[in-house]
Amino acid sequence: MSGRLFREVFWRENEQNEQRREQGKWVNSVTMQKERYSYKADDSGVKFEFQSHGPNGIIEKAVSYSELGKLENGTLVFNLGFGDRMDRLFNDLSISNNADREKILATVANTAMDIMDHYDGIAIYAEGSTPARTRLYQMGINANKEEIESMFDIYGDLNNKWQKVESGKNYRAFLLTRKNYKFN
Amino acid sequence: MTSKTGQTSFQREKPIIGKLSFTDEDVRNSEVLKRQVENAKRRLKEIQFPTESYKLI
Repeated sequence: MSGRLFREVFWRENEQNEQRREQGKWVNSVTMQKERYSYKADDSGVKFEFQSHGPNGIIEKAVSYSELGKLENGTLVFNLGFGDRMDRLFNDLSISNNADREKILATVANTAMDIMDHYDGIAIYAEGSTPARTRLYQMGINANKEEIESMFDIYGDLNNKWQKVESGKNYRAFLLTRKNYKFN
Repeated sequence: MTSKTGQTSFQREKPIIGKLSFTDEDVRNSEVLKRQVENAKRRLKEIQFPTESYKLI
């Protein structure tokens, strides 16, 4: 999608959403309750940035979705790349301890929703840079499970097999698709 | 916003669209992101998905 088209779609959707709210067409909607940071996206719709604010100051965060390839049925798969950004470099191993983990996870989850909105029928692969980071993703998924699962199917890699994510299991990686998306 | 299923809505802020402080080139040159992508590709090829059509090509 071109940058111009991406912007146009964004503005058109925002306008339509406002109209729906005014017309009371938000019945039975699920509302994201989690606090999150305001964030910025570029024209491509695959790169995002935001700032973490906490006791250790302001830390720049970057999210970048990279195309991994296509499945046999044509589904595009993107990798969720996430890390701190310093001097145009990414660091996915830093521990910022900025007391805002939930807020960061909710912000990253929001970027996943954005890219799913604009690139229909894609899958997103997410794995932390360390097992501890992957567990953090899992905690974020568990904390927002009801909201996320109302929109997406989440698969986890458990013992080298993809399965629907369940609470209480430790997965090595995650694959996110839009709800009821058929691979076949 | 209605989802593609038409059943669920998320009320959320949209991002501000604009120029970011990092570029496509920064992404391409990032060793961290390259490592993440290579790892993800390898993992997706290794792990069998329930449906046969799910194979990274």
